[in-house]
Amino acid sequence: MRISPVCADEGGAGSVRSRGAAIAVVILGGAVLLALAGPALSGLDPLAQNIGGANMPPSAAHWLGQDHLGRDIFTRLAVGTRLTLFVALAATLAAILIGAVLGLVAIASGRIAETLVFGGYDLVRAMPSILLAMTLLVALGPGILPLTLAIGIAYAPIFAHVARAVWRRESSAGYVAAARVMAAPPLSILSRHVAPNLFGAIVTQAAIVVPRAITTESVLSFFGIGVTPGTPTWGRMIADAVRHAETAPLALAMPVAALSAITLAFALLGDRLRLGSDPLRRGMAA
Amino acid sequence: MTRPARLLSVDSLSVKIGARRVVDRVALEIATGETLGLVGESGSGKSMTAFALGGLLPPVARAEGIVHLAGDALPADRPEAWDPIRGRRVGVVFQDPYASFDPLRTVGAQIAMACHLPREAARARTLALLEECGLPEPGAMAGAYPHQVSGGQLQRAGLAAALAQAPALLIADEPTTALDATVQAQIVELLRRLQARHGMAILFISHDLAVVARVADRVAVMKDGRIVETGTAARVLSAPSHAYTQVLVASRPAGRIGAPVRPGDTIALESSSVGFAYAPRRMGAVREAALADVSLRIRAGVCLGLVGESGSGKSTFGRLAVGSARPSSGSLRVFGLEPSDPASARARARLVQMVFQDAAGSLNPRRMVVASLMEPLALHGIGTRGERQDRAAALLDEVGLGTEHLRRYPHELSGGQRQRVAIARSLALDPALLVCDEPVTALDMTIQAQILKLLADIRARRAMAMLFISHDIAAVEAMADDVAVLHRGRVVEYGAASRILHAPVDGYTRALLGAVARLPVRSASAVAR
Amino acid sequence: MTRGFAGSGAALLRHGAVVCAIAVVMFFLIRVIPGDVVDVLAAEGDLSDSEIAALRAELGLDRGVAAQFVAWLAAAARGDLGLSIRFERPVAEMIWFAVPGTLALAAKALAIGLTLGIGLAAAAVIWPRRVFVWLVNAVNLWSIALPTFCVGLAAILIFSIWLGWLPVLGQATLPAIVIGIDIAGQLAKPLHEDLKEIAAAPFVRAARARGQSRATIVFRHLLPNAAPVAIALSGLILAGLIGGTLTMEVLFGLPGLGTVALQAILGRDYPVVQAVILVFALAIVLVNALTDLCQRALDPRLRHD
Repeated sequence: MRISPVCADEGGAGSVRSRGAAIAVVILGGAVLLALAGPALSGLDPLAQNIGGANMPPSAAHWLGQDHLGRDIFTRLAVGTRLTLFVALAATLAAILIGAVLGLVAIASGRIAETLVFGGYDLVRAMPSILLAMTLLVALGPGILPLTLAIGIAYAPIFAHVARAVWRRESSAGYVAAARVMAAPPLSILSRHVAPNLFGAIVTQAAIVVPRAITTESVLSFFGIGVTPGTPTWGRMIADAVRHAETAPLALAMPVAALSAITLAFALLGDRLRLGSDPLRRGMAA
Repeated sequence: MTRPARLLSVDSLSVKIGARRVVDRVALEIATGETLGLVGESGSGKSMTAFALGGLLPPVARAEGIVHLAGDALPADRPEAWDPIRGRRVGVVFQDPYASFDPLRTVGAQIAMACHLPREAARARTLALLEECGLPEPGAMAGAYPHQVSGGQLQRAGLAAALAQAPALLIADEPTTALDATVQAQIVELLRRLQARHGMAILFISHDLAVVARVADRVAVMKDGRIVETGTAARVLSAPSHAYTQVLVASRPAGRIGAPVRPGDTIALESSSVGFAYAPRRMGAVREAALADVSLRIRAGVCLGLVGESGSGKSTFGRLAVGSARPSSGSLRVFGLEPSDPASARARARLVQMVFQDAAGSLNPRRMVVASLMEPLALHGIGTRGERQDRAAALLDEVGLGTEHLRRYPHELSGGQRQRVAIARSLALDPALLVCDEPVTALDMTIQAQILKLLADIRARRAMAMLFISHDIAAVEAMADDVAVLHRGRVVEYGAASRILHAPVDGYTRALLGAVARLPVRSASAVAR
Repeated sequence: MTRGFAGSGAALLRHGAVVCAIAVVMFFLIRVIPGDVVDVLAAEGDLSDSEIAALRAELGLDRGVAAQFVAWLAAAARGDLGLSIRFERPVAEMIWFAVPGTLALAAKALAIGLTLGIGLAAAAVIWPRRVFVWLVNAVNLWSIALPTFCVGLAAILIFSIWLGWLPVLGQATLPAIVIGIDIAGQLAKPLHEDLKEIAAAPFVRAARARGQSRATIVFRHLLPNAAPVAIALSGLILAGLIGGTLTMEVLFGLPGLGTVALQAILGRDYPVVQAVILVFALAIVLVNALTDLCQRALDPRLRHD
């Protein structure tokens, strides 16, 4: 009787994954290029309206056409990429600081601090992240910085729990016991033994959180509570375009495609990082 | 003497995993009612042979050969040919009793399923089997979940499940290895009794020659997938003909090894009435066995062997000695220092070091050997970077490894090499007392002998005191000047090794020593290395 | 057994504490929001200063935050969640009308997700055909790479706009499928990994050695042992799903808690915001508690000790 084949090859989707890192790099490279050079390339103003050119299809002047207000879709997409990527990366960084760093400090400061701080993370986790970010954002007011902070807080518990799991696993490892017998101070154990594994785990988790932060940002902007009206983030573009989708489908399709491509890229990257940080697989490869 | 009828025979059994041939053209014969001992170290292919004979090979394995079982020819490469054989004509009992039961079902339900009888009949048979396997309360056992039962009892239940359909052949794959010595002896006794009553043949697989010597009529020795020697148990164990068997027989430590060390005047370790209470269990924390009223003393240069079964508290005492835990009562001093006192931790670390059972776990897999060896030196600010590197090379040389191992990662080393590196690291600070917690338990027999010899040599050369913690009486006999026997956290007997190991007074010590399997005839050949 | 129930009792206590803490934190957080409902109404309705002051007094907004909290708590204890300031309807009633929509969407999505996810994972282990393993990986990649927000928008774009199958908006089938596939992707892969691990466990080999048939092993050992992991995963997914329905409701214009929440937040309608948050938190905590309880019931190792 065979319960299951224990084979390394996982079929079609697996082979997409094996080429995943290359695909991810191409997409992310393209996004960064678009964000940095896009507006300069088209030489157009993302906010300039031109009612005469409303809902126009792509042309030599407007590479991806114009939206319902005659604004250039390509330029808006490029500026949106810049804002969206910035918010997502900054929010993830904030989440790492609020989650992993504060969490580890709390763990190091004793059980009472740990219980209190992780109790706080439990509160955050007991709310849908979108709803929490919405409420925080309304409390903090619109803008790039509040948006970043609100998303950062919503995703902080994930990093806190990753950090705690690594800490617990490492502090019960044999080599940490051996280091304690050598009278290694906690800081030395942290930097020599815990930090490398912690770093890997957090980077892997970040690859999962960044695309979620991008989506959250887009949804919030779509709801109209993210950035100030008029700022061309992807979510804002989608919200504007969804009402005019019949006449200007490209204005909707472009930001949706951009959003999908970037989450796909991060998903592939995260997959690669996860496999790369698995010591068993690394051991076998070596 | 006429040999009884052949029950199982195979001329050329091979098992391949990928391109590797883990079992290589093995020929075996087992007669009805006979016990064949199959001996080998890890990676010798003995378990794969057992799986092939039970029709239990994993899907990745490819087998070749025809197994003849009482008149039937069974192709080893066709799993479906074994469907009517498994359980019914061949029963298997495994090494780890906890792993061989589904954790979600009661023991009784799983044995009843193995009976393949109608519900009521299966239940009755389950109770009868449990009783026959020496479980005093079959009803309670049947209703228990595996995790609620002790290892020895669960192994008896595993035996009951294997015998549920009265197979003609019982394959026992290291059935006693995961158990304490006294329990081991009981299981071996039970196997013999069941065999006498039912007349089944037993294929007894073990890494432990001494255990095999107790049960087997004939012995086959395996190495690298091949059988290198077969013969009656008495002949193979007393006069091995193959070189590997000779090494294997000689690896069994017999008596003291290494030169004796003249005891010094200072006291290396002194504990008076040390107690250690159960800490409330916390997430991720190691559950420690309790200790009560432990008073021991190790003089400089002396090796104290601390013997006990699992849960006796012997490892807890080791952790107290290096300051990884704090006694809840009494006092423990190491060279006059309190080991768990943070103020003197650095001074303590230079006097006492530790070698752990799990060498692989005690080395950080991300760091090269040289980094692990330099860690204690760097922590204590010894030497410049270059000097530390030279010191690391010298330490490796002391444990019998070359400089080529400096730039290796732990997973690139063998188990024995890893333990050598761990020992080298424990010597980096030139400790005057070395705590060795089951340092050879996880290793193969031949490697065990090498590591014990290495530890004895190092101790003699450095005139170092040692706390040698082990469940293995033979290993303790090889190393220790004094012996303390721990039972449920208390010292039941304490004194000179020669006295305790040969004329024990305490009842538990006697039971423990009596349970230890020893080779019937001591090999005359000298220790191989 | 008794200790097991004591354990779940402690867990319930902890879950209850979380809900209470959220109620408190949210109450004060919302009060920090600059501008209240009266500001919003004033901007819309051109009210005079005296009218504004009267409205504040009527709504109790002129009192200190602590006093407002005490008043709210006392009312909430009687089951009175207050009046919606904007719609002048009881909040409890608004929630009551919104819950079935959300629940229906969540239930449909969950049914699709669990059936597809568990089915694929089990099929990939029972029949070692590459197609099932391929599907498990494909649906997993889909759910990681394509957020439901994107898929939902793409579905609107394709079905409603390009293909013209119009009544896409306002009905729950399409969003339920979108969320369902997402759930299946999150569930199938880890469950398949777990099943593979169980299939390789020594006790499965032991069961084979005792002559158990393939079907017996699959249905009496493999699947029951995968259940705790499946439940833990489902619990996590369900908690995420509660947030996910919110986006889908707004996107597809469905009546439900999500729509209510968005309107309330944009309109500074405090009593409604508070109540919605409380309902969501309760739902998530309830899911966690149920997950705990199911796992205890299924795994004897958690029941005892």
